[in-house]
Amino acid sequence: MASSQGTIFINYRKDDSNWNALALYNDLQKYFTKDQLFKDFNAIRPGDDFMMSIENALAKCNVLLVIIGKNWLNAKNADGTLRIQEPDDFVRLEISTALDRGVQVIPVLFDGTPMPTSEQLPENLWPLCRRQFVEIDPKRFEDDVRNLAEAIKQVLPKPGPGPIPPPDPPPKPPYGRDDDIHNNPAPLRPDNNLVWAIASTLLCCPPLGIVSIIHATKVNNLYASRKYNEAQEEAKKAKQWAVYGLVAGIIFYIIYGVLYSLGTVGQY
Amino acid sequence: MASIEIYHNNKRFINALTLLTFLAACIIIFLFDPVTAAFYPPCVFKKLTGFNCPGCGSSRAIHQLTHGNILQAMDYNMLVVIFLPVIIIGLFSFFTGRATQAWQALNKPKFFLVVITVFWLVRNLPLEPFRILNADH
Repeated sequence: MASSQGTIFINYRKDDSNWNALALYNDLQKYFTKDQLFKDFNAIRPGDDFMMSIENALAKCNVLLVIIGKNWLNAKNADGTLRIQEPDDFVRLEISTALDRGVQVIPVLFDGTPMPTSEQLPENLWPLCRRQFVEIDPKRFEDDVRNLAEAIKQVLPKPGPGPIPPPDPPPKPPYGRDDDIHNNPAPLRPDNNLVWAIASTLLCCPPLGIVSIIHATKVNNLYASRKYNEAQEEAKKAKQWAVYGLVAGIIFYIIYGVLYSLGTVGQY
Repeated sequence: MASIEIYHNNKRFINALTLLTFLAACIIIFLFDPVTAAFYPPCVFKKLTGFNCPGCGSSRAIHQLTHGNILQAMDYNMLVVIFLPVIIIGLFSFFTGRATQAWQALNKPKFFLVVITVFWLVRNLPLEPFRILNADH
């Protein structure tokens, strides 16, 4: 009983998450129609230009789910090189193409696998680290998939005035609500922008820089107590005040430079 | 999020601009000693209050650092000399996405808040052992 339009692709490594992908594919059919879900679009006929095939497939795609299991990062070729580091690795090509095209990319972590860090990924996958990920735990499989489906629905284009009524899963409260901590997947911890706060304090404008550091101190604690929205807000404020400090410093240097060259200041 | 997208789309340009600014500042500060050159702007906080801010003496300190005089640099601003490597690691991690683990280990906002605030207060105390932290002794 799908009420949304748009298509969802499931990107996965066969020798990492074959069964994970299949289970997810099956369970997502509770929330989306079968023709909205694509799992094996990397089935490419001999002679196809695979770059073109990926481009064509992703042209119709609204959401790319990147399934990451225990062996996702460490899958190796026959010669022992890491697949993810190969420029023609299919998984990598699909993700990077989706990122370039502005397709919504959601990392889906299975088996307690941690989110890969940018150090472990090739450069064109770095934006993946900044995407909000979703964890799927076998013990809460159906709940986790329902939450994922809710998150996907917010991204898909809204349906027209169609005849199908909305489905029954209850609406999910936004992040930052303490009463729902176990049902919400955790987003990535926001960067507290501390380096800019320190640089601003010591090299440009201490009063504004200190305000920035104070906001930065709150980010990790709020994140630890699962107040994700507030952590995000504080991270944003930390950055704002650091930038105010840096800009104030730079403007001051410029004004001073102009006054100095006019000969109005500088005798000390 | 938007600013991250802007950064990702213009990464080369922004990195180059930052590096150039940084190099230019280093060259100016290497060539001209803030003690004798008149064109360095004064600290506004110092001008208004008469007290040192935590950054007072940093341009003199960095000038000494670029000439290899670490002790002389510490004389002007001990905190900047100690924190400069931290700032460099943080910026390196921000701009290249590498060394993020080293930066994660250093990313302790409360520690920096306390150290900088205490330094700010203590370097203005007119007591003998603390005057060494002052930029103007």
